[in-house]
Amino acid sequence: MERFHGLSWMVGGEAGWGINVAAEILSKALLRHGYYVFSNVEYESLIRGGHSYYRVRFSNRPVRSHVDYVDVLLALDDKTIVGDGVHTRGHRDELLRGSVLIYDSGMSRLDAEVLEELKARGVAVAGLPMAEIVRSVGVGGERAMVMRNMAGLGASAYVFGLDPEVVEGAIGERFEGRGREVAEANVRVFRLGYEYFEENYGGLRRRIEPAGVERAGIANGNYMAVVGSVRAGVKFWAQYPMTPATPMLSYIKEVSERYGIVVVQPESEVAAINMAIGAGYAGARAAVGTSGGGFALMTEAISFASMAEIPVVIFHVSRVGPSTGMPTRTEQGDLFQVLYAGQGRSVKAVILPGDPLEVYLDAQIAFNVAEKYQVPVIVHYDKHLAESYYTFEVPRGDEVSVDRGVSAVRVEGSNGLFKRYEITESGVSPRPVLGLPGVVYLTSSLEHNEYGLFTEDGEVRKAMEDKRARKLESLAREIEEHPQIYRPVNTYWDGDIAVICWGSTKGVLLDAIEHLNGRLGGLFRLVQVRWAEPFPKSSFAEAVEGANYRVFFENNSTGQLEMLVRQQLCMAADRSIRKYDGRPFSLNEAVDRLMEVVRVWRR
Amino acid sequence: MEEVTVRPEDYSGSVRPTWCPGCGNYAIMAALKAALAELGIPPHRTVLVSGIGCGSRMPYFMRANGLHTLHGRPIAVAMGVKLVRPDLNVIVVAGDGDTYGIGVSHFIHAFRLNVGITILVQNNGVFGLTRGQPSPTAPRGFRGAIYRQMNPLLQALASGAKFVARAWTGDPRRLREVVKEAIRHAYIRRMGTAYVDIVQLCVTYYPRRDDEPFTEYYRRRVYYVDDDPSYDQTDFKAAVEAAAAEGEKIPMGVIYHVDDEAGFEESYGGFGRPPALQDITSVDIGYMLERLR
Repeated sequence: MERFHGLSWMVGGEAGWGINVAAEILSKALLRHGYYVFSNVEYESLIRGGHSYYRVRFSNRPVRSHVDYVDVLLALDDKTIVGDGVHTRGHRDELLRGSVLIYDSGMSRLDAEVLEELKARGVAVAGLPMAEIVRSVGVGGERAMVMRNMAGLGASAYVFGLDPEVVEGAIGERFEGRGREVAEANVRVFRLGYEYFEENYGGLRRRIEPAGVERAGIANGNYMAVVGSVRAGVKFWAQYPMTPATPMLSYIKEVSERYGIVVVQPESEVAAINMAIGAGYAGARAAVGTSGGGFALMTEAISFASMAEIPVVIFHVSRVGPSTGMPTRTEQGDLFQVLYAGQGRSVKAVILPGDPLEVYLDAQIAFNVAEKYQVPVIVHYDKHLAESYYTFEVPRGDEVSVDRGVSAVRVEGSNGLFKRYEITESGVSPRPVLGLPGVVYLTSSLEHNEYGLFTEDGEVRKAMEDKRARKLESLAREIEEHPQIYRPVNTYWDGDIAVICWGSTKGVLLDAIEHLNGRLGGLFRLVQVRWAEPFPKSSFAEAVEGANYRVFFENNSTGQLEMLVRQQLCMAADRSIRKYDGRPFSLNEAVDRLMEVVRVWRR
Repeated sequence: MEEVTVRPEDYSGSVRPTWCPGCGNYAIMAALKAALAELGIPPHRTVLVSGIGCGSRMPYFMRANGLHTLHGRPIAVAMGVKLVRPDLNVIVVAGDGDTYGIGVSHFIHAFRLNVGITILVQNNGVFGLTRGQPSPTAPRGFRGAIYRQMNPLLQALASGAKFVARAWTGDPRRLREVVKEAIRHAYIRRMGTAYVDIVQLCVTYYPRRDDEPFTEYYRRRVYYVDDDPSYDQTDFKAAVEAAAAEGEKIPMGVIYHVDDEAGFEESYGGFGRPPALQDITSVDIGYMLERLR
């Protein structure tokens, strides 16, 4: 198996054992040591038991992907190593020569042969009596099972040569809200794990020089969606819990008091979107978060927002479909659902961010576009981007300025009805602040005239359909004229083979192509499509110009971007790379699949 | 609240209603205009949120801020409006199909959230615009209805409603009084959701009840709980009993009314200005960004 720069760590065990806590503390600590970090979690749709694992990869060069091997495996149970035939096949094959296995020597019931086989392959097998260590600080019962994670974290920190105080700082912050006692007990267990390794496995180190990354932060896509929304002035957020969009609801709740945001968890996604539309109508920046199933329920309301010209922002975080599918796994299978949501011609905008920083910027752009063009805007990404932690330069917080267009303007009162749907060249009509003296207006889900009065007149209907469509044309022009703001298409490198992607696959492709271009002399270029509606035709055509081979790289079984490009530009793919096992592409896999392309292309 | 004189005509729209001659909606619209005028609420402070159906066209025939939404969704939309503009008078005008059928989840949860909107349900037992199918409140046997009739008042009480009332289109004066009480509860006194079930005549599809003309049928059976000095509107059990009454005695008026909890929008009164009117031009996100490091 090919190895890449940096080191890869994994913690595995049952859900409820503090897998996320351990991995996220380690990620934070690594960041503070000056490393680039990329962390991603795989878990099952259950609360306790099963098998979850969290990978953390770090390096002194940028990392935006995981690898198929593990340099240090922290196995909280035997399942993590050998599997159980139900939840997991185990990760022992991911241990390579030089890898380190940390396991609970007190609890493990593994056959000696398993460990012998690993040692024979050059894996350093290091037992750590995690449960005993936890008991030694006076913690018992169920909490003891969970706190073993800190012992394992201590051992891992030793192997990576980390400064224990930095890790302890991150532990303290993580348990801030849980009382001093809890934080201190966790720190003690961490310290004992660290010291146990120091004493018993002195010199067992896997260390790389840090890069000294400055101004860096780590966050996942869901968090940055909320940060961007708060910056954009979101005042209303409604969300019904649905994996993997749910964390947005927790994040926004945590800051709702501080920023004066109304947060509602209503009875359904239908209620959520309709409430948000009500709030958007009333002049607040309003949003909902959901996944494919919830989005399906919102479809009619999105069409309503389109007809009534009400701004609203929808964060759609996809998982594996159809139906309830695989709730905790990733797929890019909902692009068409998003694009074609709604009866009739439902005018809307669709943005496709590819990393957390883009989610943050696009969230702000989404609110601007929603109000300027009075349309629903969907920010669409997948579980992999939503829940994985990326390293990036912390934004200043003033990258996108608030632009409300002619929405929520103050107008003079008259006794008549305000022309809410005035026909204009851009298609956009002024929308007054609600409740101004002498100003009233109609907002309609029926086809209507300029005053919002329902009509079945054929000519008026045509004029209104065209007016709404013109908004999208105006937006398309604005996007193409201001690529530095909207970044409709991102292009990296300028090789002959264009790899075309959208969303989260950007990360793994940047890593894979950086690696391959170094080896193959700049053979590839990466083209990342960032807008699906309006589709940036000329930017895309420009991005692929000069490439003599087009490869569409998607985490779905149908090639939805590939079909969209064919529809928009009559441009076909030379090759399609697809993956639909519910898992994100690893760096190894991306490199292998692109090497296949090279072999075919050379023929 | 502004000190202004408001006349019912101020709420008159420029479009003639599309309802059948003799439709109960005329009485409801007249009562609503009169109630709003008597409460001194000007049209620009009022948002009428409607669903889909004959009666839901009402905002087009009035002069106020009208928001015509989807079938079943006006309550949810209205809550969104009210939560960011608690200073406005938000009224839902929707039919029994909207409220008791497709949108019944919002009806139930509105009372759980207790957002200060007034819900006026035009309850005529039929789907008029689709040509007369039975609604959830149609009695068994009516136009092929094979299911049990829903009791929306009991549903509201069971859901935690604090203001539950019923009126009918055959008594415009009492209808206006009940609507006024409801708006007072939700908007002026800020006590959360107020709900009025308005029993309404559909001249085309449901002009008779049990072989009697609609108006005669109700006139003989209706009584107002408000007229009974021994009736305690704050007594939940009495309200349940009244709401459950079937057959010869049909209770009307304010069946249940307690002021023990302010509307949900009051819970974030600390935000100062209504959320939708706050300045958002440069929100400082330093706190959130600091957590990335």
